[in-house]
Amino acid sequence: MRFNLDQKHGSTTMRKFLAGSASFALAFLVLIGAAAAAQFFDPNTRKWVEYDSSRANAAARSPAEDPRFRRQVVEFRTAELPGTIIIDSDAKFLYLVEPDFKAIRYGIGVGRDGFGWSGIVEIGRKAEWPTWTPPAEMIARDPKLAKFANGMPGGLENPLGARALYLYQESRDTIYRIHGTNEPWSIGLNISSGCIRLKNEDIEDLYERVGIGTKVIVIMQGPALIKT
Amino acid sequence: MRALRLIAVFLTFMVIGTHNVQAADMVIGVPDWPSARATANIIKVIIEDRLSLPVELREADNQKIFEGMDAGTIQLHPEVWLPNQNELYQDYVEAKRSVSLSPLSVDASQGICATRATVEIHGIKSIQDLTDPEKAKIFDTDFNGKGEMWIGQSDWASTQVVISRARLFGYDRTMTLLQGGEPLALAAIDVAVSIGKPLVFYCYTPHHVFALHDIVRLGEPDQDQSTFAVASGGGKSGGSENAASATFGNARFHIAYAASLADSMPQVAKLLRQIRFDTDMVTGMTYALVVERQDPAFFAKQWVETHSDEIDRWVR
Repeated sequence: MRFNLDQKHGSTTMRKFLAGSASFALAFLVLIGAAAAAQFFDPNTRKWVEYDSSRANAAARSPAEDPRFRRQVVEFRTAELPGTIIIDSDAKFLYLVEPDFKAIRYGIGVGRDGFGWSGIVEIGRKAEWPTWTPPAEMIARDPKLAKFANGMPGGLENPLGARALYLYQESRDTIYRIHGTNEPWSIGLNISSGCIRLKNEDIEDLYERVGIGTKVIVIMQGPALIKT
Repeated sequence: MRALRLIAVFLTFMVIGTHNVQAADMVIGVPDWPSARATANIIKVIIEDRLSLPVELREADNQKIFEGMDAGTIQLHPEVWLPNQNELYQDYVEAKRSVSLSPLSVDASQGICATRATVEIHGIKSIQDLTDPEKAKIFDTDFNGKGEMWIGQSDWASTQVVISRARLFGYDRTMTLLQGGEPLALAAIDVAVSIGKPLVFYCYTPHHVFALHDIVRLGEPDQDQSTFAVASGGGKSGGSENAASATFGNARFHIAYAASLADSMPQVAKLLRQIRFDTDMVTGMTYALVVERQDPAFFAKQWVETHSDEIDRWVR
């Protein structure tokens, strides 16, 4: 059960060795970047698209233990209603707007070296310990994932982590999720396949605070702009 | 008891019916942007309070409001942007003369803005700074060596002006010009201010963002040197493709009203020609509606109460 969205070319032993070390995490990223092309989901064609990984991780720079990425309440002046989620994939922050110009800010990890979309979506579904089903293209690229073609049950090894918020646009699943992670060291880095990941304790906190229909804004910066 | 109820129902219909008949005499068209909703409600309160005339608000787009003023079904447009709505202006004000424009207007400046941190920490003070590749790089988030900046929605007439000006001044070579929905751009400003991240973007006044954040307009070279033919400019979607200039100067908006009011309700026509809103007033109105989410009708009543001195001068 060692393979998942982001570490499919690394071993469990290696992962333990790297945990908590940003510089080693970067080395690891280079390794996986060289070994496999990443993918992103194109919301226009509704297909997973391959692209080269030459852009990989130039911006990977912030370890999970950086205090900036800890969950915290911050000043946040906005015209958006309390309860709205705003995601900055460049600075690796997710904001949940609170009353009185405050927000709860969470550290996130985002698309490995591309994200390919920005826009306004909404939470269409929520799940605890969600099942993860690798896309067919991902299985084709990594046959070891074939055993999960019908879904990997939720659990500690599941890359979606403890909770998942499914992002919908015009009542259709975009295939993007805000989810937890089984690799907390990856928060603050550009590694995942287009989804937005939080530490498990953070996604559990966010999960309890938001409901179906929550507005989610992904701003036009950083990996949100990279499509190729 | 039943008879009393019937009388009550009858009286209710009488009141509603009478109101509808009277309201049809004065209808304000309400376009779908916040400042127009605010000014429409304020003008309604002023006319009802000071001239004792019932006023109806009717939501409609620019085209429908001009057609209504021409046909006599709508009497007022609270916010006609020029040059954005030049075609409507030429059709109904200049050619048919069925619509009149107040001689007073609110200046609506446009340009490129930055957060205060961008200016004070990163030293970006004018759009010419954006032509310096090293300075432009501080806005690079997608690792291609060029900065990024939002320049407006793709369906805004002003966006073509921004592109033309970027080419003219040369920062199209150092900056990627992003078109997209305004809510995305505003959220990016919220984020940039929150963490002190540098950001430059297209901006126009009046707009609530100037009341929400400390925003600085970047300096620009002499606009007279930049005049050449492009699509018409403006912060609101006007859609017209008239030849105009690449300058942002002279954008403004006026109250427009059915020319027939001069004869049928001269006291209203006189008032409309004397209402003098200004940029700061309208920025405050949009902040109240967009950020504070005040009900437009409630806000208008309060605004009229707190601006009685100005209104006294307008109705004099």
